[in-house]
Formats: sequence, C-alpha cells, structure tokens
Amino acid sequence: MEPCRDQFIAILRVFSFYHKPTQRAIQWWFHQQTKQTFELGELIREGLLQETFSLRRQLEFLQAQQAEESSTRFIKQELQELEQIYRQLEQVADQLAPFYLEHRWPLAIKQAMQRLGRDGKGLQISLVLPVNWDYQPPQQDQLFLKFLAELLMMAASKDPDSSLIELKLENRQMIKVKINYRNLATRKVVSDSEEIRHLRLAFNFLTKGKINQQVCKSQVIYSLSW
Amino acid sequence: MNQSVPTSAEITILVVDDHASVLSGTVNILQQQYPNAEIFTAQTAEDAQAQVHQQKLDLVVLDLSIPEKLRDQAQISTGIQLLRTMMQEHAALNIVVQSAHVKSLIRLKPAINTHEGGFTIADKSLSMQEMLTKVDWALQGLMFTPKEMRTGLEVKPEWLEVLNFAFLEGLQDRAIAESMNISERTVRNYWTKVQDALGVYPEEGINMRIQTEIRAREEGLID
Repeated sequence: MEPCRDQFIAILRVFSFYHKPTQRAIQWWFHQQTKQTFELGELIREGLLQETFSLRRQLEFLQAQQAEESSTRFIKQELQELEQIYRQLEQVADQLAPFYLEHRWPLAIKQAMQRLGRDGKGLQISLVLPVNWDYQPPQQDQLFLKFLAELLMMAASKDPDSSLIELKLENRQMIKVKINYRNLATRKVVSDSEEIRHLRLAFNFLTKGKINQQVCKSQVIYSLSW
Repeated sequence: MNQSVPTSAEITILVVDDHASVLSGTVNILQQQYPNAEIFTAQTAEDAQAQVHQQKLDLVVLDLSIPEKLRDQAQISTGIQLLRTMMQEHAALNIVVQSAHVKSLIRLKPAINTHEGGFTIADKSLSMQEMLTKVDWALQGLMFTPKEMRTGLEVKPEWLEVLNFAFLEGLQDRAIAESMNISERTVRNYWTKVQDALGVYPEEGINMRIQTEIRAREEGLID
C-alpha cells in the first residue's frame, strides 16, 4: 500500500511542476471564493443582524410598557424566537467571516473548534493555544481553518466516541493534531482512507503546505505546516 | 463594595450608531432606565468625536461599525479608530461598546487594559436587561470583556502585585498605592482589570473582593 501511495505522490509532484500556471490559477480562484465568503459574512453582520437587533429592542420596549399579561406573554415568546434567529445568523456570519482571523490566530482556531463541538460532531478536542499572540497579517488562514476542520471531522467520522483529539499550535506555521483511537483497526480505517489522502494532496496543492502523518499503534499524529 | 448607579442620577450619555432604528431603540431604553439623563446621539465618527469634546459626558455607548462622515460607508476600522482616540484623549471616560462586531476589539486589548474609566462590552445579542447591566457596570467604572476574547488567563504583573499586597499582606488600597508608588485610583482600576480576567462581576449578596481572592487562589495566582 505504502509504495503505491508514494508513487502517486511522486506523480502528483511531477504534475504540479509542469502545471504551475494551473495550480496558481486554482489557488487564485480559491482566494477569490474565500474573499467573497468573507464579504457575505460581513453583509449579514451589517444588515440582518442590525435589523434583528433593532426589532428586538422595539419589542422589549413594548413589553416594558404593556400591562396585559396575555400581551407580555406573546411578546416574550416573540423575543425568544428573535433571539434564536439572532444567534443562528451570528453563527453563520462567524463561519463565513471568522472574526479573529486577522488578529488572534489562536482565537480563530478556538472559535472554529467550538463550532465543531456545538454542531454535534461528537468531537472531544483539547486545545493547547498560546495566550499571547503578536499581530501578523493573515494570508491563507481561512482556507487553512477549513482544512483543519475537515481533517478533524474525517478523523472522528469512523468512530466519534472513541477518538480523543489534542490540538497544539506550535507556531504560526505549524499545528499538531494528535488523535488516540480505541483500537488499531479504527485508526487504520481513518489513516489509510482515501479521504485523508485526498485532503493531504489538496492541502499541498492549494496552500503549498504539507500534512505529515505519523502513525503508532492506535495513535495518529498529523502535523500541518504551511 | 460596588454599588449600582441610581436610576435617578442626572447623567449625560452619548449614543453612537449609524442605524437610525438601533439608535432610537437604545435611546428609548436608556431614557426609560435613567429618566433624568441627558442623552445625545451621533451617527458618524466625526460627529461623535466633536460631541465627546463639547459635552461633559458620563458615558458613551458606541457601535463599532460606523461611517467617518455622513454618506461614507460604515466600517469597523472607523469605530475602532474612534474608540482608540477617545481612550487616549479621555482616559477616565466610561464606555460601553454595543456592537455586533465586539470580537474585533481584540486588536484594542492593550489599550482597553490601560483605560482608566469603566469599559464594558455589550454584544448586540444581549437582552435589554443584560445591556442595562453593562451600562451600570461601566458607570461604576468596572470592566467587562467576554470570555471568548481570551485563550487563557491574561493577567498583567501589576495586577498580580495588587492581589499579593491585598491578600498576602492584608493591605488596603491606600497602602497598596503607597507601596506600588501609584495613585489609589490606579489601584482601583487594577482591581477591575483583574476581576474581569478572573470573571468576577457584581452580583447581589456577593462580596467582590472575597470572590476575587477565591478565584485568584483557584487559578493559582496567589498561594
């Protein structure tokens, strides 16, 4: 299995070498898509979220003026629904345009990981992130976050209950993800899967980075560097 | 002990937001809570800055995504710059940031940490009552920043010194100020910062200093 994979990677490297313009074009296209997604998130924050907020304040003001119990009960119900809508819109906006991306890379990772947990993906992730982080200009960070989230979902997809994930931000260019599976068989299903291979190749192609995979019994360590 | 600002207080407030409906909604609620308050409004950074200079304000409630001038596009960077200038020029001003972009404040964290006035953050997802609590805390000179703006416990050495003097040597604020060669007001300011870092906020029946000591010991900040 391993020599076959190495051959495949070698072929891809040769392909990449001779198709640099294609690679650059696809990277550019992804960059444009990411930019558009970010703008869409900002649009939600600037439009829908503001409108929802203003509606909510009007209802709250009305509630404070109402004496009739039936009316206040109705307004309370409407307020709860509005709050729900606000939270959902906020989550969508945060997903499309992660806030911390430009300013605090560790917080952007923390937010993305919390989202994975909140969405019921069954992931238990322990994070080791630095408290202090100097400002550095964002580059391919949003795309990178997507790869990280995808990797974690794949890693847990075969047996979500048994995988325990430790994520450590080594520096701005490297993240280590350590996953402990309940048994060797599950680990093998994940680490030998075609999806993981696709992901590693796509990461290399789109970010010029690398995902290294180290396996040891039922444990697998992915080092993402870029 | 911190005490709520009386609702009958004759205070002066400036509310800054470019959305007219948001502006009127916020003003209505503040006026209802503080009937004797004088409330001014601004829809641009330029107008807000002029009013901060002209009026003697007790509080500014500020949205971050605002235009520089009328007909300009609203931008977070404009609100962030206005906030930075306000904190530089009016160190003791009480500020509530009410915005859907509060996480952007992470880039101002160092300036927020040294601001001497009250500083609270009210995400626009908060209910009216929660927002009014943040207004009250800011008027009391307290600090509140959401937990999700941190990856861990962020405590500056001078805040730790205050904790050590208070809980290990049993000193009161005046004695702490003398020992650290700073004003008593700065000591009080350090208290609000460390309390925010530890997540200690006013609550009925709770002694904040004792609560701070308990939390500081839990976090291993003092032995």
